[in-house]
Amino acid sequence: MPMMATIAASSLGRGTRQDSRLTRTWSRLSAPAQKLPCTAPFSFFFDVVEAYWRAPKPSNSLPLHRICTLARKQGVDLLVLEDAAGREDVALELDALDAASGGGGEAQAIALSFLRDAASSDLSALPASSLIGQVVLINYRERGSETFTTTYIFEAILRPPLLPGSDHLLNNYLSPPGAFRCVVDGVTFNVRGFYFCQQNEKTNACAHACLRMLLNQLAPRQGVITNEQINAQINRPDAASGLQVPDLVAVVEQLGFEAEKIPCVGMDSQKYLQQVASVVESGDRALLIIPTKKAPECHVVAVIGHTRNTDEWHPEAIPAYGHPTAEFFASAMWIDHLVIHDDNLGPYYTLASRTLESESCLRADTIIAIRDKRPDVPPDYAQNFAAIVLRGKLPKLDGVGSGKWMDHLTRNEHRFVLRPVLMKRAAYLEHLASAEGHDHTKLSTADLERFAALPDQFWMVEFSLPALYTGNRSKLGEVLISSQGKVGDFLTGFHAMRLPSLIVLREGDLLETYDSGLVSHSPIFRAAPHDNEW
Amino acid sequence: MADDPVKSSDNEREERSSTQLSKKTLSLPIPTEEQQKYLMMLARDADDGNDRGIIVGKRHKTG
Repeated sequence: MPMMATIAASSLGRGTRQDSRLTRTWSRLSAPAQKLPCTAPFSFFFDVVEAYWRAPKPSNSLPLHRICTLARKQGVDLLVLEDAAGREDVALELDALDAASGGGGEAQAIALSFLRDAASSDLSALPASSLIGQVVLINYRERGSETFTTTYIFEAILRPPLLPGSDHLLNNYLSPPGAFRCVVDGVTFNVRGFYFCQQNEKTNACAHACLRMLLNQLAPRQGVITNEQINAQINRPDAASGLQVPDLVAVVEQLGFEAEKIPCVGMDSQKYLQQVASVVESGDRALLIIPTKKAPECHVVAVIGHTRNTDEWHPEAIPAYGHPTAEFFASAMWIDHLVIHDDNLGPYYTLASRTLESESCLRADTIIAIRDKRPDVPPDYAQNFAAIVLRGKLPKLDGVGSGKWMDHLTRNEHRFVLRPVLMKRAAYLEHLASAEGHDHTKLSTADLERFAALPDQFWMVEFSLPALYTGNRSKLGEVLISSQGKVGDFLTGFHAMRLPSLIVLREGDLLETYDSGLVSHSPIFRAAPHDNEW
Repeated sequence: MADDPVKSSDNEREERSSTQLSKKTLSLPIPTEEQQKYLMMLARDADDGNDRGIIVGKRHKTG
């Protein structure tokens, strides 16, 4: 038996909404308040999931199993249980659940906080990194029922998985984490992490869960979004059981973001993989909608990042053996997984990108990227336009600029790696200002000022060579292609190009060249950079 | 794609100055007609989910 220590129920940190339009008709059941050391032989399977997941099957406990698994892999040694029903956001969720169930039910809400290096320490002395995550579990039973009828994860704040002693998993590239405040036994932990939640199948579905996961992750401009707010906005009787694509778009845009809808049916899977790769490589997130056997019903997962395998064989093997006329290597070919949250199965799963190509049941139906500003021009268009520019202009720049890389680029034919990233001007200038070449050369202030007239947003198509891209994670420059405006306006589609030692700017109807200080290859753009990569 | 990706232009010129090692003026990169067709094909939308009325989440669950 694990050792147990009783703690006082405390008011937890999250939950800010004060108003409720529903009359509170449910009764609050007491919840455990304990500290459980959870190193072996403690069993998460029996001592947590079996003990606190109260609704019997077919209630879906897989997400809690997944979170426990992740916590175990990260060295959890203390589990803190607290009553969370006093939180206003939890109470509002229960109001809606009870109303949808006829009223008069009973509910229990348990906060489970997973900590490491904490078993023998005072919580207030622990660093924020000790908190692996905090889960709020709701157990609910309808009026007159002897057993619990609904159990689900209302909310979880989880830091990205990592091994003790490291700050990122190898070759994992997640969108920038959000800042969350979690209170454990009265001690506040400021967590840089991700938001996860699960549908309850009564008042919300996977669509609601994924919207909440992504929008609440993004520090929304109008406060934390709830299932009830989503249903109120859609205002259709069947909204609780599923949303349509325009509903998802409307909810995203209501919160001040823009939704980029990418219909995928009939699209080559490699093409939509490139599109979703461009979303996550730009640091944005996406809803990936996949069909189910019950068409037209679909499931949706939240895409929060990707992994990159620089030892992949097929990116170079395909043009070498299969398609020798391929113009370039798409950088997406080295993305071997998307990192996703699936509300039915759990957080931080990796979805092999080849699965989307080979498994007919897992092909994308629609992708909805959540952007600050939706591009009018798709990434593969920008990527191919960049290929055309490079192929046409590089030979004409022989003798212009300086250095061995410039000579190599202009005097030989190349099959480049091309990587389209949707970029803001300010972020681009920041990226360039911090760029340092392999030979330690840098751009000067005057070099950076040449880009002052760029539009607010554009496609930055990075170009590299396979050996540089996979070995150094570096590039030789960028081609800047318009992301906004009319597709096919070839006269205004090109903005600028940066090469080793040279900047090429569009000036009126011509291109002008300027020398620049960065004469070698430099690191590719990373939305959330880290060093644990191979 | 065609081998000749960019139209040539008469107004390309090269000059040297005291501040630039070399300076060159190039024409705009305008794709060939064949390339333009290819780019426009890339920009064309696939079948739109709106028209098929898919429902995301309805009665979908595991376990």
